[in-house]
Amino acid sequence: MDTRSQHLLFDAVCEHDLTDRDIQLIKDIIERDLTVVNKIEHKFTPHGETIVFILAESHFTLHTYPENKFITLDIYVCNLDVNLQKIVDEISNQISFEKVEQRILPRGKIGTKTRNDNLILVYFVTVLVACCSMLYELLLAQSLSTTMGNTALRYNTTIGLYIAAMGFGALLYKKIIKKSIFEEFVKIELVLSLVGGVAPIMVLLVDYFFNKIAVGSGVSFFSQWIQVPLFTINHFFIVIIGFLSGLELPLLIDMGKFFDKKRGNYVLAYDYLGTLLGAVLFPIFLLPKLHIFTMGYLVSAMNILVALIVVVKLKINIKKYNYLIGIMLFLWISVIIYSTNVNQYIVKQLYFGGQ
Amino acid sequence: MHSQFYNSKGFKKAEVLVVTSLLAFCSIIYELLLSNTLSIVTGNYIWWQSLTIGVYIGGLGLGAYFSDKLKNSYESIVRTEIGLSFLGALSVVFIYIVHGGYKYIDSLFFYTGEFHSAIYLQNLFILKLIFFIIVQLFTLAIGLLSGFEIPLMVRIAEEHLGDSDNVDYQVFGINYIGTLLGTTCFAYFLLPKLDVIMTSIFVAGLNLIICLYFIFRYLKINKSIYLFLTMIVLCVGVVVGVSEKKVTQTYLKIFYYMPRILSEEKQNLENLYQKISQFPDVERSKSLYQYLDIFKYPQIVGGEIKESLILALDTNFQFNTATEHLYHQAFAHVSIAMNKSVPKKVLLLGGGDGLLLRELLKYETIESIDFIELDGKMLDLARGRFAAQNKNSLSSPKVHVQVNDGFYYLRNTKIKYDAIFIDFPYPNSYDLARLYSVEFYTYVEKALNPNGFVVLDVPFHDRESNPDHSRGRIAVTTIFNERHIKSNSIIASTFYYAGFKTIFPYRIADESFIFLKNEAGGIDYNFMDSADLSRLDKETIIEMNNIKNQEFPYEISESDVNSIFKPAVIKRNEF
Repeated sequence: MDTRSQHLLFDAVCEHDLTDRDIQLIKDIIERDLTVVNKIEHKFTPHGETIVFILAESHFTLHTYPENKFITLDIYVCNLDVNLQKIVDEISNQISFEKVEQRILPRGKIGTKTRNDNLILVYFVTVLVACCSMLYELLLAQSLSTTMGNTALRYNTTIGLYIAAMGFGALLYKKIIKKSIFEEFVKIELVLSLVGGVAPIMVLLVDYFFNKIAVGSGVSFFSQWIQVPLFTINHFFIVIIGFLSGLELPLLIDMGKFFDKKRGNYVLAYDYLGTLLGAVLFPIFLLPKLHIFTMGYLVSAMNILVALIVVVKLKINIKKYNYLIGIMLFLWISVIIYSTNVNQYIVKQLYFGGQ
Repeated sequence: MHSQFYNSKGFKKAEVLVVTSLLAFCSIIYELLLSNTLSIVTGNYIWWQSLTIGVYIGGLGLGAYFSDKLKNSYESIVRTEIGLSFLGALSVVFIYIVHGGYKYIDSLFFYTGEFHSAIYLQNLFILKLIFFIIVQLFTLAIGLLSGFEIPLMVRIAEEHLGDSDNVDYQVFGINYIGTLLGTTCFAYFLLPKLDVIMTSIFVAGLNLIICLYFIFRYLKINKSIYLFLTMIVLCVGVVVGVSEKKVTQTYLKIFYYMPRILSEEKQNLENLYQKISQFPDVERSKSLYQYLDIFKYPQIVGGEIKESLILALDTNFQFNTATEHLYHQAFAHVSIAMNKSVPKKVLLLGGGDGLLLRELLKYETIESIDFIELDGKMLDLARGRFAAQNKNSLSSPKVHVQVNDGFYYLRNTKIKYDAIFIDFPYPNSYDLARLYSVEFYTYVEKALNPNGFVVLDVPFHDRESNPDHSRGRIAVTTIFNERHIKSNSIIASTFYYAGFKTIFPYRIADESFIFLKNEAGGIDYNFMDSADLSRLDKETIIEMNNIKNQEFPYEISESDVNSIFKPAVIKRNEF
């Protein structure tokens, strides 16, 4: 038998005095959503109540402290498909609480020898996102070398800045990521997809823009007044991508540890594997076959797909992200379909137009 | 008070983080040493840079994966570091030895056997495979050991600082910063100042110091065994450091002279090593962009043996002082004869040796030559070592020398030229392929006056044999094949789509050139009849007579265009 289960611990302070109606409301919701097989209720004097339901799924308990307007509630279910969050959300909607504290703990893992599908999913996602990040950086290095020349130096600077920015991301991880790790992960993937996909084009745009400024103002394009800001802005994309990728790795390790405290650490190994994949694919298979802009769109689309997989498989049900994922996937796919024309237009306007 | 500070949490944390960053610094430099040395000795950057970093990162992954099999954190980190500094100190020497051995055996196969037979090619394939496996196993070992480092440091940090402090993320973070330090130091400081072998010794030494720190700070038992091992590694490092020059020279001599010896005395294999060591040293210098090797090479010219010098850039043959005149005359005079009028304003891109410049200065009607070269060190050679060879061409008042990237210059210049001479290295890497891209030639075309012409030296194959001189060996005579059609088509299509409608390839001796004009039909095949041949040597004139009979197959297709946004590199051997 699969012993994996989830345990909700919920504490709340009501805004108003506790009434019997409130307690009945909670009991009704439980009876509706779960299968009650036995009930024990006990009233204390002068006040306070303990209610225990034996469920087909496991158990439910409720303790009230009317003198403090406080209730504490446990739901333990051995069925991973039950959405406990939905149940407490409904309770919170019906009763106005002043303060709430809740946790959902995964339990029963050590009792089951089954494959941990979620952990495998995290490994898979790690390989893909590490590959995407590496590809974004290599694309940027290639794009920078089209406008600034000296490919070897561009690759050196890009990889160096990328790795350092990753370092800062990892260092600041605990300060930045406070909320649900899964939600934050989806958010980071959305931003990465957007920035990574357009960054190679932005490099050309920035170069074009500074060329125009140089011509317009009469300042030489090679003078430091043009070159220093140009260099800074162009390299800023690398830092953004590196920083977000740096947040990604500890986030993935935490996701892995969430599903399996011990084997979660192997995420690091899969991250290296993904980087290796990117580093080998890029020069040998991708660069000779695809326009670098098209490669950017494809990697971005892949990144969105990763976010989609996480949202679907881990049942993260947040409307905002569902819409965003849909829109971005649609946009990237349309750009990929028309990539030949789009790329020609961009190169003609930005690369040759800047003179 | 003192010991309180020493044991305070802040100090311990700083200590762990500093050590971690130093370890990352050492590891990434080992990787860079391997990938750089392999790229240089094999002459193929794309393959070896990406595969080496790939195998290294794969090794890191394996190390991280298997790190929990290591029981005692402190003993494990000491063992790891002893192993790493041992491998690190040997890294470059190891590659020199293995590649030297590869070249040695390959030359033996080639010159003593039936080199065009299937057996040779089969042997060569096996030899390449063995070479690849040996060097990449070495890379994997370094990656694997480096992969142990982070998990071990996290364990050590947690033992000292407790689980709660997020110290694991800080260890990851500082590890990246050490890596950045390593890449930067390597590119801008270590490689230019110390070169590869001394860099490997320097970094292995640093690694050994960290190892000693671990032994004295943390180890309680087995101290003397590890100290003994450390001393052995130290001895290895010292031996490698002292014999740096000898190792490099032996390698370079095998690389450059071995084919020579074997081609002269086919079956006489006795005392090969002695014969090799009798040759004069190869003068090697390093610029920001490349290795410049100069070596003496006796050349038979018209029945008599002449001492000549050869220049090789990153081990790719550039010129031989005894034969270069043929090449440079074909470059300068044949193209001007084809054009039927001498240009007034000329742009010369590349060709930092000043030899093509010498030929161009033979025309008094050329008014000015803008000369753009990327590598200042090449110009130093042209002004010093090769000044007699190029007849001080760089100091002519007509010549305006500029150290600049040719692409960058053309993209931003407004000047128009009557003729543009382009003498770049062959497009063997993505970096060099830029100089053969449709974008670059679009700018070349823009910088050309309406009746102007462009001439460049490219690997373009005709129906006849096309020997490959580039890597120190007179290679297998190739029969024209599919691969040549492909590489010809890439070059021709790129010029066509950059706006050149006349594409005229020609071959003089072993060198192929392409003459370009922006209007169609600009070639008179009988240009020889009206040409002024006074500036040419007899040999060049004889070769010129063959031009009419040459045939260069190619196809024009948009999918073959080489663009900086979608590079198509002319592939060569992987080794």
